[in-house]
Amino acid sequence: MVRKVNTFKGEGPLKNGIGTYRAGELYGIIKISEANCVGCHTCSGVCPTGAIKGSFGDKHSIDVEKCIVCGQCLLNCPFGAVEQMSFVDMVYEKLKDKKTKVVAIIAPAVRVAIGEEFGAEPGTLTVGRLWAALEKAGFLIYDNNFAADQTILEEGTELLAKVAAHAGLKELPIELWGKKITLHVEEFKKYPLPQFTSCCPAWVRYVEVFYPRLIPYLSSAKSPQQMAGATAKTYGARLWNVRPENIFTVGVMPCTAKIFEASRPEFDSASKYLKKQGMKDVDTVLTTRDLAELLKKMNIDPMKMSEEVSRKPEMFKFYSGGATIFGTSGGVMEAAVRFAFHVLSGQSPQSMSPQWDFDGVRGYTKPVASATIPVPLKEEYQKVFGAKELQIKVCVVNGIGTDGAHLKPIVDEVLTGKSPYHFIEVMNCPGGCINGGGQPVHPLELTLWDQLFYAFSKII
Amino acid sequence: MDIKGVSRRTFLKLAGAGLITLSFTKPTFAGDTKEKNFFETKVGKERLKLIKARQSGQYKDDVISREKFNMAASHENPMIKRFYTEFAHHPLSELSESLLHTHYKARV
Ligand code: SF4
Ligand code: SF4
Ligand code: SF4
Repeated sequence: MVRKVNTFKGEGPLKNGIGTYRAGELYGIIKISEANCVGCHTCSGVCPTGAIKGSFGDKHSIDVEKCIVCGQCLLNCPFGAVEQMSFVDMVYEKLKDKKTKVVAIIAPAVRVAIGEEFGAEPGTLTVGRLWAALEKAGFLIYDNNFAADQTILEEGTELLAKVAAHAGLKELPIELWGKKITLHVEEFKKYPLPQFTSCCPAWVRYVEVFYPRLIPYLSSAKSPQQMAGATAKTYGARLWNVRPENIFTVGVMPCTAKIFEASRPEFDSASKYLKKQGMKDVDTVLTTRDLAELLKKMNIDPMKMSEEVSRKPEMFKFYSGGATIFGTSGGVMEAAVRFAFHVLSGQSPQSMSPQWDFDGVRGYTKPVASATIPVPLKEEYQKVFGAKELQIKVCVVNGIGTDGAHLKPIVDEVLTGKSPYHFIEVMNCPGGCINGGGQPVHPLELTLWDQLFYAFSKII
Repeated sequence: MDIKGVSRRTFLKLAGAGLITLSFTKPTFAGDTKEKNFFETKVGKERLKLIKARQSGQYKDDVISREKFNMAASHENPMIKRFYTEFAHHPLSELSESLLHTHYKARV
């Protein structure tokens, strides 16, 4: 079934920046073990950045400068030769320390995959029992789906502000929960459209390393993980009645790039806000696999617990449908469109209404999805926009693709000023985070012929 | 060298024959991917089942959140409303900008 992935302990954050890494960041999170590599070249075929060195038959290695830490090579290496930096021991120790409140920030895609590590079928939904397992292990829960809802409010509003600014408006009144606020949108004019999503750290690093010209297009909204960390140590500390410095936040992610993201030096906003030195918003990250390893070490099997733990309106746990689909390609887009639809039209359909389904933006297993969404405008907006309807044009890049194959045509349009879109979602991993580099590994099946081939090439 | 009746000479002959065949047939996943669409590559095709299973788990959770808890969209989450009412004021507020937004850095 699933395969155990080899892990190693890192050397900690960089003291000084090197190449495409800054001081404080983690370097070399993904590496190829020379001893186990047979030179089959599969990894090169899935790498989005061409970071893997070596031809067929050679020992392969990763050019860390170009690597965006997505872990696709790890997921797909048929020989388990790719290894991941792991912080399981650190979290285990923190859990034993009674003074520390350890907070688990659980990503959407973890709940449809972690069961596989305990013998369940792929896709088995694991929410109540995952919470129960984590609480038994001593964690407080901050469901990252709640943070995904926060992300939509911020990133969706940002998009509306940009669209309004580019339509020539100076102010945009928006109504939320029966309350009116007026956004001053003029300053958003300096940000070009389309807006790109920013919740995939591999994609963000891809932009920073390969396409810095795209930086102004990226949404300024942090990823859900980072919003969760910053919120946990401020508002969360207040609600839980604990000192922020005694909170240890752990991202539980389907993703290896999230390990890198948490180490980015600017992610100490709680520290800045509280004027207390030296706190990271997210202290460390465990992948789905790492969490399974930790739970096994503590003899906790979530699949033996009850899924029927009730989902009550509890802070940091309650989440919307829009939030949970963040884990699949097109989900961030659909959640943003649901929100924008409500704000612009003033309508609130019944929750099961097909009006909330925007099937056209779902990535499924298409390399790119795009759609034009007609949004009826409420009266107030009809005046300011001078139209009855707004056509929102969106695009979803479902995996950057080998050497950027899925992404490049879309980016080329943006860079040449020909992009028709308002909003573009990019997820590094094909299918979305559900197929992320931190998820349980199902080894590719080698044919008998393949096996003979490699057995043979080892002898000669 | 004489493993189970195969002499070194025969072994090398076999090896040679093997190598010739190999130069025509590479193993399944080897080699650079010429396909532009990951889902049509050999690796991609192997992954379809897994990807679809996990995606449908995610959409199942969407249905549960809507059917049982009446929340299709993010602003319908009462805890989100509470978060903004008690703490962050409104999206893009000064507080939101400082805690929930960031900036990026060219790495060249
Ligand atoms: S896929 Fe694995 S074994 Fe094959 S070349 Fe890459 S690291 Fe080596
Ligand atoms: S596949 Fe991802 S993690 Fe692996 S070398 Fe390429 S960029 Fe790095
Ligand atoms: S798509 Fe998801 S899992 Fe993959 S690198 Fe991006 S955030 Fe991580």
